[in-house]
Amino acid sequence: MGSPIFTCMSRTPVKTSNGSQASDTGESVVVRLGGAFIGGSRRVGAEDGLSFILGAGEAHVITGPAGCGKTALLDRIALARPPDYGVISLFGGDAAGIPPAGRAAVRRRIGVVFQHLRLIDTLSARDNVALAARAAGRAPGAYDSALDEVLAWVGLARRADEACGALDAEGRGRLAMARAVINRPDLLIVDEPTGEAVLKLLSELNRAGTTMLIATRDTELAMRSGAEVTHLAGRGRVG
Amino acid sequence: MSGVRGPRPAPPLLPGARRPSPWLILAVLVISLLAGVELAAATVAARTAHAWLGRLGGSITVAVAGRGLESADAAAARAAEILALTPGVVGVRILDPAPGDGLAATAMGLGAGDDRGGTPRLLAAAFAPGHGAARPAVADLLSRQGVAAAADVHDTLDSPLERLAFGGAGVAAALPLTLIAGLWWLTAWAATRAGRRLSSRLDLLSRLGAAESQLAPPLAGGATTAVLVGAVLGAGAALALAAGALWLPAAGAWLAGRDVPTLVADGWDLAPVALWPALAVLIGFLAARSGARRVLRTLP
Repeated sequence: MGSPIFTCMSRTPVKTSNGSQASDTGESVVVRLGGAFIGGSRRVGAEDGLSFILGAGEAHVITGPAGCGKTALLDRIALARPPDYGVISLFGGDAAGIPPAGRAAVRRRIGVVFQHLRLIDTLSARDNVALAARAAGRAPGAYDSALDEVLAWVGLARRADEACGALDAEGRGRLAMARAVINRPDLLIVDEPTGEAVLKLLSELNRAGTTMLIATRDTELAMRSGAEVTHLAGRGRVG
Repeated sequence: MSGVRGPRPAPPLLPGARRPSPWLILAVLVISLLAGVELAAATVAARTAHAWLGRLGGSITVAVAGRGLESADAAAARAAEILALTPGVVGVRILDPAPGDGLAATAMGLGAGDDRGGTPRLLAAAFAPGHGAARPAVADLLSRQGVAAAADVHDTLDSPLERLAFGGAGVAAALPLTLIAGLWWLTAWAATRAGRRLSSRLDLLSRLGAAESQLAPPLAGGATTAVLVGAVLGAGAALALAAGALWLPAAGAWLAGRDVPTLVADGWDLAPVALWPALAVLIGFLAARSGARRVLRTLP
């Protein structure tokens, strides 16, 4: 086992004398979780151990076997599903209280590397990343230099005009990372990172102070990450 | 080589979404053609009926009989003088005697005992516009002046013409409303269908932070463009058909040297058809936005 991937880690909520969790709704807390639906209809509460606070610049890893609800949990934190159970607080505000018209603004503060990457094979590598900038409301031309910078950072500057479908698995992973960080998100969510190149990029981001939440079924990776780990066992239990 | 490079072309958020669908263009064309022809026909019918009503409402036929020593001819001359001085009457003409005058006078209600001065005579009186309501009182006016008279105010034709005039306006309103409802439904459905075709891209863009205000316009744009193209083509075809139906017979008669029939309708009757594309585009725009929003509401 080598050196830890992350040097800044999250923390579990502080219990007060009367049993309630300490209130911490400032912007220094990026994510505050206290229970959620996971794995479809299974709900797991904070009393079951599914709770953590992810402060700015910290990293937290969620691990567990396939189908245990890691992606479902990340989807709720990324506002892809309604947070209808438990408490999910984002950037100091209750995620359940965000009106539909306000969700886009919050999502623009979150970069996501999807489990299956969800890259568009018919577009070039550059356009895949540019699409995220455009979705975030940035005008064409306003993100060109940032785009060049981020493609160079992930090592795809020379392949920027190639069709995304021509990239190998590692290249696609790098490209997904580039798309997730083009808008300099306040929170980076990574679902099943694969490949040493991606882990290296994540480590660099953590050192640079990026807040990140990572889900992986690779328990060994979780252990050597150096970050606080929440282990989701099957059947909605938190192990 | 050096030089200032402009911004790179941006990838479209929703590729192909703004491309109008050919079948929607065709459907809107058919709807617009039907609406245009119907609008033109109803407008011409209503306007023609109104014009006929105006003509009938402005004229009256009076049957006058002799009484005592006064012959029918003398009574007709006196009635013409009285009518000429009546407010609203702009012209009086004693019709030339014709074989059916006696029968017509009886049909108009002139009593059988009023023909001692000879066969009753008929007069035509023309009223100024707006004075048609005075027509039924003419017979009483003449009677008070000692003239045995009956008047026909042509009301046997009034009712059917009124029905045509106002019914035409009703049809002109009702059928387009049905077509407008169809246009709304079709356009909204097309925008929804386009959204569902792009559902994967929409979901990705939404999760990347795209707002509804970014996604709805391109999604609705294709359907709106299709409505614009279809409505202009359909209304254009309807205009051509209506203009042909209105003026080709007259042109043919003129070319053949026959009497050119007087047209009650004129070019302004086609104005509603020319306005249809603007109405259709407004409806299409609203319907397409509604359909697009329906799809976007299904996104997380």
